[in-house]
Amino acid sequence: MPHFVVVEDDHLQEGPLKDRLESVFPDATVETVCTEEEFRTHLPQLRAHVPDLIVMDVMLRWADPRPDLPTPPEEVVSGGYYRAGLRCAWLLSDDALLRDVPVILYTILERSDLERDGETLPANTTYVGKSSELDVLVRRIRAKLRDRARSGD
Amino acid sequence: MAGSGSPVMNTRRAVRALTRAALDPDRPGTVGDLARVVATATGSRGAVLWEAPGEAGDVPTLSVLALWLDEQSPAATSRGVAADPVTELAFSTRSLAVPDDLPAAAAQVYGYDVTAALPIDYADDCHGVVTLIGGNDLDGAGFDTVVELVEILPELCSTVRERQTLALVNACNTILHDADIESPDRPLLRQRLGEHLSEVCHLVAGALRCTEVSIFLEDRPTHGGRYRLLASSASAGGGSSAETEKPVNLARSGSAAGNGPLMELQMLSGERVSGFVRCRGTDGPPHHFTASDRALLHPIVAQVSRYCRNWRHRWVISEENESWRRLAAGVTEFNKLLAEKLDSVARDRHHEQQVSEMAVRIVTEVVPESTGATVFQPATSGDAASTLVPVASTGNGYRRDPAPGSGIAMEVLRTRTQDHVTDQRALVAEGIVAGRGWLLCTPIRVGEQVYGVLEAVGPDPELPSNSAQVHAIIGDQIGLYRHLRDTLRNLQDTRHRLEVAHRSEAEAMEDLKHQLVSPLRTATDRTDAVLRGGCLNSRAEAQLKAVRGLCRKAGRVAMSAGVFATLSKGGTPEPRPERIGVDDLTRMLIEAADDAQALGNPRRGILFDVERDSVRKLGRRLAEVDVSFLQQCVGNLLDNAAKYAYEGTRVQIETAVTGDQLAVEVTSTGLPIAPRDLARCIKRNWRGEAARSTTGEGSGLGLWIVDNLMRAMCGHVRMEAAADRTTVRLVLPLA
Repeated sequence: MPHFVVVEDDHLQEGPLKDRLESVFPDATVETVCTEEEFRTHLPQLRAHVPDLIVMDVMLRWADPRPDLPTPPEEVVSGGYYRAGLRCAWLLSDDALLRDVPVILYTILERSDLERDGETLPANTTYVGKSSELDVLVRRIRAKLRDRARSGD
Repeated sequence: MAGSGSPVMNTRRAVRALTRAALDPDRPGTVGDLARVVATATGSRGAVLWEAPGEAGDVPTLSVLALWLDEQSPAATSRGVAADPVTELAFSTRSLAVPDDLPAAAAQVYGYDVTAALPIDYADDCHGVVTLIGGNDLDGAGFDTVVELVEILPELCSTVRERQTLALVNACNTILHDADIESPDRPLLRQRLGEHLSEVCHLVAGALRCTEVSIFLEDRPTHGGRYRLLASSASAGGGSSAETEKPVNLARSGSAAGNGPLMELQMLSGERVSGFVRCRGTDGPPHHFTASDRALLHPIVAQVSRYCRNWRHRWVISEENESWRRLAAGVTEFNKLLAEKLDSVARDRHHEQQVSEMAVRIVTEVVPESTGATVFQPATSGDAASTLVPVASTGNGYRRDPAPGSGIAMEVLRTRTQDHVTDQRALVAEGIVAGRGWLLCTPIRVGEQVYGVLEAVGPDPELPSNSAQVHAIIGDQIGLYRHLRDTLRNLQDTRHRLEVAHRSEAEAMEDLKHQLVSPLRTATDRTDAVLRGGCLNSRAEAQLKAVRGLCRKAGRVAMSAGVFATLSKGGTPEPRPERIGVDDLTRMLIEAADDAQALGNPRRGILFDVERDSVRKLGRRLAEVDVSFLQQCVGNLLDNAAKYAYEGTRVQIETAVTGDQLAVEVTSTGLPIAPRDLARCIKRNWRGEAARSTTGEGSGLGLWIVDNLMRAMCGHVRMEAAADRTTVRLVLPLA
């Protein structure tokens, strides 16, 4: 029973994506996370229940506005909105329990935008452009799940 | 004339009297005073002090140094009285002589019989005689007295002259001290110096009993051999004469033909003769200038020489200061010209001509010794220039070839280093016409870039002291101007290219907008039609409403792109005004609220609510607006509310009518805006600190576009914030 996490701050995209995943993988569990702050807060739970795959948007809000909003860390302030998903992918890559979880960067940005100034993508990440059909994403998820099954995880 | 003088004093009393006469504390005595004491102490009616002033090798001739005659004596007005035989005898034998020593006893001076003559050796190694006249024959005591007096007389003569000299030096010091007082209303003028030194001449003339004392000063340090009369005891103003003389080689005294005795002393400045003092004629006795006179004149000449040297230094400094002041004024004027016409600097050829003309005018004003100047520029650019062409020039005709193809100017252009010529043959070779003593060429440059040559000429044999620096500064100034001109030209070209590129991009963006808006509007209309047809389940209806909201939002984004393009080109959005009433306005606001609701995240629970009662207050009044502009503005405000409002917030959309204005107000609770930031919210690309650090998204263009659209409709945007509650008000004129 696959366990997916979808990190997406636009509910108009998150809903159809979740619906599609649940339709293609009927026995899958699909968790949704809306902001970078929520993802960071959710990390201990991810360690406890390591997901099979994470679909990660790149341009993410830090948090939804609320009166008790915590001050973002310095790396968030300096890195900004346009690199939020990458920061989350690096958090997974640096985590001993989560580093092997495949991450699909599902973004409207071009791959060249993500690798500008010589930046590299974390290991175990795959790029899929949002401009593509949703079927492309589904095929890539299936492939990743097969790889993961072969490797015995 | 036989004598019947007063009784002879005893020796002690006579010495006391003579000493008192020499050392009178109240006034400096004269040698004539000493002669008076000698005469009265020896019972004589007069006494003559002679000296032989000839130079070494000359045949000594006695001349009167000083004399005293009693009141009954004939006036002693004759010039050059010759010594009597008794005096001559005393001088030649260097011993006492009386008339009885001569075969023929007739020996008179100034109408009195000579009674005795005694040799005297003055302190300045000059020999002479003291002759007693008009008294009784001296007895033994009388001889003792006169011998004693003659014994101390040289020392006392010397003392008297020293005191005279000291008094004269002090008096001159006072005059020159007054001359030192300088103020803005008493500038350093040669005429004023002449007036003060004329006072000195008067003092010296009085002390030396001469008819005229004059001071000559070197015309210019560089003009060796030319001296100008600066001051004279014979002229009231002094310094007004333009008399020029050759310098004397040595201090001399003697007789100038027709003008009586002459004495000149040089004023030295190191090895150079900077001037001289001339004394002419005497109101004697004595009727010649004595060694003592020269000794008296020496410290005065040294004093005047020192003063003139200092004055000249101060004058040079003052002139240099004035020169720098003129330079500063010129450079300021120069820069003012550039600043005033900065816009046209890059394109206006006439402006460049003006700059060059001003430059040559400034250098000739700041360096008054220059009589011509030219700004040259290469006929072709760079090092390959084969000739220079004049751009602006003063002092026409100083150059035979107005466009030099060789020589110092071309060399300066090549080496970028200032150079000058003062040799006459070299000046001729440079093509400079006669009458010029120097030629100075200065590169017009900035760094390694050289734009031309600034040339100047003048008549003096040497380069004026500050001319090299002045020309270097002006050359740099012109260089900076040329550099500025080139830079501005480049900037203008770049700006033009950027404007063209920018315009193309903006036009492309506008084209994209048009291509986007039409299909989006069609999609919206068709979705509307489906929704109006009904027969949809709630999920499908929600999905379709979201699609419609997305289409409208995409339409607003496309329109924003068009407005952005228009504003970027420097244009203003053109409204297409139409009159709308309460129904139109209500429908528009509800549609906007529905879209915001459909697109909002239901989990956040933000509610967009139109206060319909407030809209109804518009009544029958109409507002003249561009509907698409107003939709865009309201949509942008609701987008912001959806983005920055707290969960569960109710976003109020209402209207207010005040006088002849309609206000559409959107109020929400969310991320606070600092009061100081309210005015900045409508600036392009400005984003509040809270928005930047929390949500992170957004470009800071939304409210800037709203502000521009509102102003295009003759309206405006007003914002109010209190803690986390914000109201944005769109104010429009009512029809």
